[in-house]
Amino acid sequence: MRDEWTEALSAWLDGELAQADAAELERRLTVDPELAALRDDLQRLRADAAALPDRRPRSDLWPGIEARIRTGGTARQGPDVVRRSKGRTLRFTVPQLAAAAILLLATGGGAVWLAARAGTDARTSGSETALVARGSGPGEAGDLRFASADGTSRTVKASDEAIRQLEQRLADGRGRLDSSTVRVIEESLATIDRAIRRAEAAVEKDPGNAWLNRHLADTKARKVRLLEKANVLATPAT
Amino acid sequence: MIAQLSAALLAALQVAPAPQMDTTLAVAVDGRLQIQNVLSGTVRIRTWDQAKARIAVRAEAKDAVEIRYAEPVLSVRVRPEHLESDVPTDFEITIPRRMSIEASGVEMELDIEGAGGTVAASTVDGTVRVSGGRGTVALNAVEGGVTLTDTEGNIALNSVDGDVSVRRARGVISIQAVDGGISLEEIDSGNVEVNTVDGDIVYRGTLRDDGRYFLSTHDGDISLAVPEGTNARVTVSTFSGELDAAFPISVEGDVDGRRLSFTLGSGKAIVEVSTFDGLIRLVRP
Amino acid sequence: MAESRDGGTAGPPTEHEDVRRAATGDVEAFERLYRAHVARVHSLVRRMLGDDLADEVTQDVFVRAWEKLGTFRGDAALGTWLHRVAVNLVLARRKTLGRRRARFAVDGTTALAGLASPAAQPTTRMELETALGELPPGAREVFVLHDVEGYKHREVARMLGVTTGTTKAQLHRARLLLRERVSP
Repeated sequence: MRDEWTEALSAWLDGELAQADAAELERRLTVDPELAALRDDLQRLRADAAALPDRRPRSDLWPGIEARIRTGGTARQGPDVVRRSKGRTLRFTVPQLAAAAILLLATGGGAVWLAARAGTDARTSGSETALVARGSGPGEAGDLRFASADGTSRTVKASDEAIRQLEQRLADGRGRLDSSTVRVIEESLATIDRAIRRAEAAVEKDPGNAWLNRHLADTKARKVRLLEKANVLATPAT
Repeated sequence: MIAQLSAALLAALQVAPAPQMDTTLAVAVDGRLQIQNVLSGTVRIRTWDQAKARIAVRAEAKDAVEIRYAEPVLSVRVRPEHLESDVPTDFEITIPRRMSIEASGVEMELDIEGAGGTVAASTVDGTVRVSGGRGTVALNAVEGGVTLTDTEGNIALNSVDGDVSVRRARGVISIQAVDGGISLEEIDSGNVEVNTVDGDIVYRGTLRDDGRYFLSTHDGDISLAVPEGTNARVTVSTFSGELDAAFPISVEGDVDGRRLSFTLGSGKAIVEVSTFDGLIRLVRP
Repeated sequence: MAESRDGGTAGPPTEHEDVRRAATGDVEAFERLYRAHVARVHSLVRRMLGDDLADEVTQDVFVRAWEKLGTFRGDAALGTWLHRVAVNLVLARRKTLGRRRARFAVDGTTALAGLASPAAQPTTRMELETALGELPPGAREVFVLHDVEGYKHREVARMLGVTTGTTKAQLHRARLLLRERVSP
């Protein structure tokens, strides 16, 4: 049985074979018992697939869902306003331009810290403030260090309280974000949350493990950074 | 996705109508190009060895974009009254090779080639592709990914949702990603810090005697090329992952039950590799 | 039980009423919607992503649906709308899984090599479900979207970011692999 005809069989079953080829295939089905047997099997398979029954999950997922929607801080909002543009299904808002510019400053600021680590001076391209990456010295795991062009700096602890406050600010401001951006940020936050949950579970089993504790702190710091970035995007420019 | 977007970019530039604006002006060769207010569009920047800048724009209207030059800053921005336009604004800009570049936008695809100065760019939804860059290269993309090649200096890359790829780079490197893999090839650096939450990490480059290298992912594999003759103290940390070394190593201790260390040669460089749940592969280049 | 205007007792709320209530924050109404649709959503997620992620992503689907319920216009059945939410989430999740696809790379033949020889019993649906889970990811996604969920090749190709040539080839591959496993 030639492969080209077995492949054509799939297309024929789906009604997607060109007429001339379909006619030839149908002729072959009458003289090739192997091909005909394959046709019967594939037809049965398609029918079984279409009739597969839906099955509930083994455990009740509702408690987890309820917990998330009750504590998620997602106050019921009106429908998302989606403005349709030609050739694009979503539009971004003008305030996000300012946010993107602020992100640019933050990006430039990352270079400030980086340059500081490398022991060289650096400028922030004329910006007034700059967000900086995390500290890495002893006892600094998870901390965020912010540097300003005037040489001052401050440290933010990646504590659960800090995360909670940032999440609340983001929840308050998310209506200003385009739904596509919301989706990306939510998925990325979900990624980090999964990592945090796994790290927490590991620390619970091995609380004295220094590496695990640092890994958990680092992962929480990642969440803080992402929330900071998201809040920049969601905060209207003044 | 990056391949698809690049194809779309190419298609847009090749079949698009003639630009509404095409202007050339004299500029300082070591000045700064600032591109702002790109709510939606593509920005394509090339360089040349002339003390001029050429700016071609496809936009809704001839006057949609404002160009201002106050030495040394060349400012190119979409006018506020045109920001609400449904039509994206596409730029093709050619500048002196040494000119610095700053670009920020929201739904912005950025493609820079031949940059000889500093580059700082930020986009919310769009890929950032830079070839070149000297001094400082700081790129930030929320969704879309970052690609950087042939660059030298202090490199800081941030991506939330998208892969980061760096090739033929020299200098201090810091890369942060959340949902994306990080790939570094042909790297010459003594200071590398790479971190992602969900994605693989690949490092192929120098491991200098005086260097410090930190590669960390939560959910992903790490592949680290270790050249023959490397002198490094290597620490591998993982919660439920595995280590696979292509050469013999002599483990010196199982600290905390999740970390192990070994020394190569004189042990001068510091190499820390960490994944919560993934495979760590140590290979020869 | 709610009372109707004429003072008699009304039946349980309709799905339309529950959607309206849930959209204004009524968690109990949303729970009723969840129970009515979880089997369908979970089955789709399980078939596309496998058992390991099914529960987690199903939860994500309903949490997303809760957040987006205000945008549901009622022009399609709620089940259809939920299905689209689920497919979008599955595809987004698939993107991150795809980055590690090389780690779990198996070609079709080896993926099913470990399975027992075809059962002597007539085909059972449980066998098809099980064999479905053993398919390589690309083939499984196309098979689920096309043969199980009923999407056309053009729609499947758009969802997965591939060509219809690829979806047709993957579908055929999936069918041949499954045929080896589930035919009597």
